[in-house]
Amino acid sequence: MADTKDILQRISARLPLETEELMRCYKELTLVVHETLASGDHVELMTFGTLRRRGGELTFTGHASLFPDGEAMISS
Amino acid sequence: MTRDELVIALARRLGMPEHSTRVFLHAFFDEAKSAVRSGETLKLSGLGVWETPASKGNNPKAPIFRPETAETSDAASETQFHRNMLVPSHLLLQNETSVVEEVDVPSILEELGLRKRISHVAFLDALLDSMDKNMETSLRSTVESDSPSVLDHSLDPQPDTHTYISTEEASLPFDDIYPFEAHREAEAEPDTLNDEGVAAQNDVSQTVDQEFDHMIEVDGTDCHDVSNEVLEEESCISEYVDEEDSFEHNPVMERSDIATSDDYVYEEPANCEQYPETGTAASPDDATLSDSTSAYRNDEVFYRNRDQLYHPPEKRRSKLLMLAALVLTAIVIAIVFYMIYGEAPTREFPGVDTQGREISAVHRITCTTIVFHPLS
Repeated sequence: MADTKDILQRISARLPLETEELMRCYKELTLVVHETLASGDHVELMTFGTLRRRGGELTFTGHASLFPDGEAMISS
Repeated sequence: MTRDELVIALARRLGMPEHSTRVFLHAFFDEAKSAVRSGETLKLSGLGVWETPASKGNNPKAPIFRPETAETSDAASETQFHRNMLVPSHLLLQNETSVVEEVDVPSILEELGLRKRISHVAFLDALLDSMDKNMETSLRSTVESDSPSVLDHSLDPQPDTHTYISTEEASLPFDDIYPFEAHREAEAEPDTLNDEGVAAQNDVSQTVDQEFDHMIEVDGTDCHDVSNEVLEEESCISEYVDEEDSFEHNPVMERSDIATSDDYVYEEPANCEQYPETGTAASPDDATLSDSTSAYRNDEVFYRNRDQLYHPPEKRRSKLLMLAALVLTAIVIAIVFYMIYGEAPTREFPGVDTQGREISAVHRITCTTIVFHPLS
């Protein structure tokens, strides 16, 4: 189980940013994502996947590099 | 919203360079991706949960994404907690019949973690009140004395001796308008402060200094006249005084305290220059030295990366390079077209005529046709 803090702590070892700064960045990121989804647009989360709202439900399309065999994932 | 648009939007919100924001986003989602690929359940607050179902064999299954609802969102609950941190019902009286009872605000603030700050403010208020009282007492005793002093002059209403000047004169310096006024004031200045006035001022300043020293030297027994809040802040004041002393006498601490995230100050350890990097043990304190050296290197790398992150190098102006690349590309394309569709170069060897050979070949074919025609 890896939550947000775990991910931020892992990348804080590589990035020259404090955990508080990273947490602030993440909070702003979630705000940007939610605002974009509310406007009806999709959000491309770099090489992780794409979030979009289809029929009122939030769906995630995984990036091809998320799976070793190139299997695509569309789930909600 | 594409990746670039996400980077730009987030950089504007954070006030960070786009380069730094891109680095953060790549690092974050790469780490999230590695967590999902390793089979971990990833829970990003505000976004959703990625669960990887257990798979048989070596073929990993696709993770299942569940969007985070408002009820289970950590961010939402955290926001609610901050919004409702000061519940209005806490400020209401528990016993409705005792309306005149005062609200115990300090206890409420103590619950909210604001006790220390409030008590510090109360201490400062008590200190200022005490100083005001002593100042007033000293001034009153001075004013009530028979001999006039400079304080009497300052307290008595003075007649209006102001001389109005024109706007043209106002633009000139004072010495130009009244050349002898400055000298006269300079001569008269020592007389305005007579001995008694100076003594009164000294008394007031000494009283204030003593009072201030008395208030600073709080040891739990000499502060009955302040308030109970001061007693509780005993340790706080001691720490404050210690910090003041250390701040004055420790330039390193002063620099590091002033330094901000953008303008950092790094203090190089003393051992680094004495024992440069040799790869072998050079002193009895090898462990300490290696620790300090590695810490120094880590800090150096940290601050360098941090500086680069906040101030990324500017992109080179690549217009000239692009122009040169276009010209070279056009030249290469022209050469290729010329080689494909251009005329073949005529190679003339000594004794060989290419046109003559072509003519002779055509002539031979014609002759052959003529020769074999009667046979057919």
